[in-house]
Amino acid sequence: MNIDITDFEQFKVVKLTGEVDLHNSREVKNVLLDEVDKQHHVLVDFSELDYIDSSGMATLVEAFNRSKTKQVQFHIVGAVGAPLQVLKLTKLDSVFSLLDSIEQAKG
Amino acid sequence: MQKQSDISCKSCTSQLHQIRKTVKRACAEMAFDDEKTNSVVLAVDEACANVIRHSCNFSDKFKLKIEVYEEDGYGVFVISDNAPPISACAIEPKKIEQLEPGGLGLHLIYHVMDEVELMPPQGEGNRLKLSIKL
Repeated sequence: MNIDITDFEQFKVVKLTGEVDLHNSREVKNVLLDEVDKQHHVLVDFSELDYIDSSGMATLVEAFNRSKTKQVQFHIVGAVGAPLQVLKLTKLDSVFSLLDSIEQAKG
Repeated sequence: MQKQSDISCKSCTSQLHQIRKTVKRACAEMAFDDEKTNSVVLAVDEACANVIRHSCNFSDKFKLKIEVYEEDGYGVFVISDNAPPISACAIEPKKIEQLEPGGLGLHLIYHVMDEVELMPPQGEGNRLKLSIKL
């Protein structure tokens, strides 16, 4: 799993590549909470994410909830395949803001 | 009973990737489509992660074994370990609004699989049988 952070407009884009599971979800959690705590708007890029488990989903929920407290935007971008299926199975697709592309975040 | 494959490994989260690969290959042999394969890989991964987290308490001194076979029209995935025994209530499903941290995995397992059964252990440890219609 690789985490890459770049800038897009007013957002920090946190791109997750590979697989997020119990082995590495704490690493994802640390990065996301750090960005939200700095009051950065966050786009979590799923476009090259192959797999995410419930520990990864719990991490996203925690960061999303923190984003509301910090009053910053938090979106998931480019979810397809297995990760999108997990979002639907957990019904979190109706909780998170899901965008098709990074450009969509411009509004 | 037609044996498909099995994998034995240490009770370590670094093994989850290899477990998923093995389960995915077994699903292909059972001719599951992509969506069903993704769901089954997730369910077995969540079960193994729960064993590592709760039964083994993140210690890698235990062993994990996943056996895959077809039986009476079901694809069967048996996860066994040599960790201290858990009680049957530890794998009882809870309503999604009652979930505590870590409980989401169990919810997913029950959502995906047709049958979830804690079997009598063969000697020490635990045996969890997950079945899904072929």
